[in-house]
Amino acid sequence: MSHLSKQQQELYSEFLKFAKTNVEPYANQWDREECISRKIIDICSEAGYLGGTVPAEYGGQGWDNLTYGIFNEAIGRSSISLSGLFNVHTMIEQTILKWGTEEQKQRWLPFMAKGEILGAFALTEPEAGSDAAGITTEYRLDGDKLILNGKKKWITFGAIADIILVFGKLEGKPVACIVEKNTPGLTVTPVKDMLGFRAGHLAVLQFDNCVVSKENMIGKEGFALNYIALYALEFGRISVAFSALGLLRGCLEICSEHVQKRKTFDKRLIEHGAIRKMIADMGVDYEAAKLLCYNATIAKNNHSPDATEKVMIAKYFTTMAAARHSSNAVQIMGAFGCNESFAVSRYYRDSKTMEIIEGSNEIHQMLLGKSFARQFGKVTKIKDESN
Amino acid sequence: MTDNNIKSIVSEYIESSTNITGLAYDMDIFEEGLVNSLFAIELMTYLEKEFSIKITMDDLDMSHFKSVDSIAAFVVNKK
Ligand SMILES: Cc1cc2nc3c(=O)[nH]c(=O)nc-3n(C[C@H](O)[C@H](O)[C@H](O)COP(=O)(O)OP(=O)(O)OC[C@H]3O[C@@H](n4cnc5c(N)ncnc54)[C@H](O)[C@@H]3O)c2cc1C
Repeated sequence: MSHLSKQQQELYSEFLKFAKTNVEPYANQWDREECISRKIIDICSEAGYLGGTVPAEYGGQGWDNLTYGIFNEAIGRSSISLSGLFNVHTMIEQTILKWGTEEQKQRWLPFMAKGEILGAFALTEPEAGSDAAGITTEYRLDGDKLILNGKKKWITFGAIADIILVFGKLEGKPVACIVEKNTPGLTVTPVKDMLGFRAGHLAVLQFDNCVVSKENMIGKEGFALNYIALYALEFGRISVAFSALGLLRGCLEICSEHVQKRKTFDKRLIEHGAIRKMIADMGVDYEAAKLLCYNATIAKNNHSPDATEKVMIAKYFTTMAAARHSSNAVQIMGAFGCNESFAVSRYYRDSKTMEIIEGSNEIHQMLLGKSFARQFGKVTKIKDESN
Repeated sequence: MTDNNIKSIVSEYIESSTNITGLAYDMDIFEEGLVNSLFAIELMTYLEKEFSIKITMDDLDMSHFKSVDSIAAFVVNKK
């Protein structure tokens, strides 16, 4: 805990207590019903958590990135589906904060911070996921309005969001606009039967000649993918990395208790070498992942040039560790681990999904592989002596 | 702060992320593939903090950020 300031330690205790009281007892039920209840969203709003990273001048808590991270860890330990809400909502808040005009900030941020307006992030399409440049959703200029046509899929909290940041192309140039849920021509269809994030209100969004005010465009034409989406996705990765860390902690807690109680062949499970190894590896990866996550958000707080890479490393490592160890957690728990009444079976399903969202493992390998080679390889370009 | 001070702060920042030991001030860092657009965002946030300037969407013209020379000129202009 030494990386956390006294204030962060106090907040972490508050977040854990909040999650144990308000989230953990209901998480399995939400998962079964494929629906996060409105009640918990209202409770989170009242606690100010929907505006965690929003500066105080717009009605938020002004958390730094590490504090946002440990909040996600506490929520992720109890419900990955609920962490999805903070993930996408924060991505939209941060996008508006970074790239929006003052009018746009005033129009949306104070309401988002209070949880009165929920945001969703719509980039993926049925035919374009990892390769985001392949999106075909189209904005067309019509006087001072934009006409939107296209389809977005797998949009977290898309089924209940009030505003959606929709990526598309305007005359071939990537743009992103805020689209309100009651816009005529927008059809929202909930997606059911997911492996993980089952309660995350995923949706398909169909846009048929939706009229969008030009004033809803965030940033300028041509910068939506390389700047707006990438910037937002970095906050998404922080959320996913830390909530995977919470999931890992959850596995460790549940399994540690079980192996000390359960006996086979006259011995407690922890006395068996194979089980002890699984617990050891789980604990070591939890500690390593925690350091990577903390390190990444501290780098981001300091605007360090390698912050982006560190966030990617943390997301990549932690989600892989969560997937591996939640699988071991099911193994350790035996039949209990295979039953939906126990959190580990949910952890197992959720963790697999976390290796796909916010840039899949393979996309991380592609980017990090290149980046490490560049970083550690010899570079011959040198400064002109006259400089 | 002089133009040269700015250049040396900016080049140190870029070098620390790219493993280059002597960055030519006129080198196009994007064209050379040394950095990507995510680095550009990080760089902008750093410039805002380091030089107390505010970079908005209207400043998002990559010609401002393509080399140490152009970044320094941009910062001087903004101050
Ligand atoms: C639970 C959940 C929530 C989601 N929420 C959102 C949301 O809120 N907003 C949103 O916009 N999207 C959302 N998504 C979509 C998500 O971002 C995409 O699923 C993800 O980007 C991967 O795209 P894809 O599923 O189309 O897979 P594809 O891009 O088709 O990839 C399929 C497989 O091929 C691999 N692959 C792709 N390219 C390469 C390559 N060059 N080299 C090696 N392997 C490669 C991928 O890693 C993957 O394993 C969500 C998805 C899920 C599952």
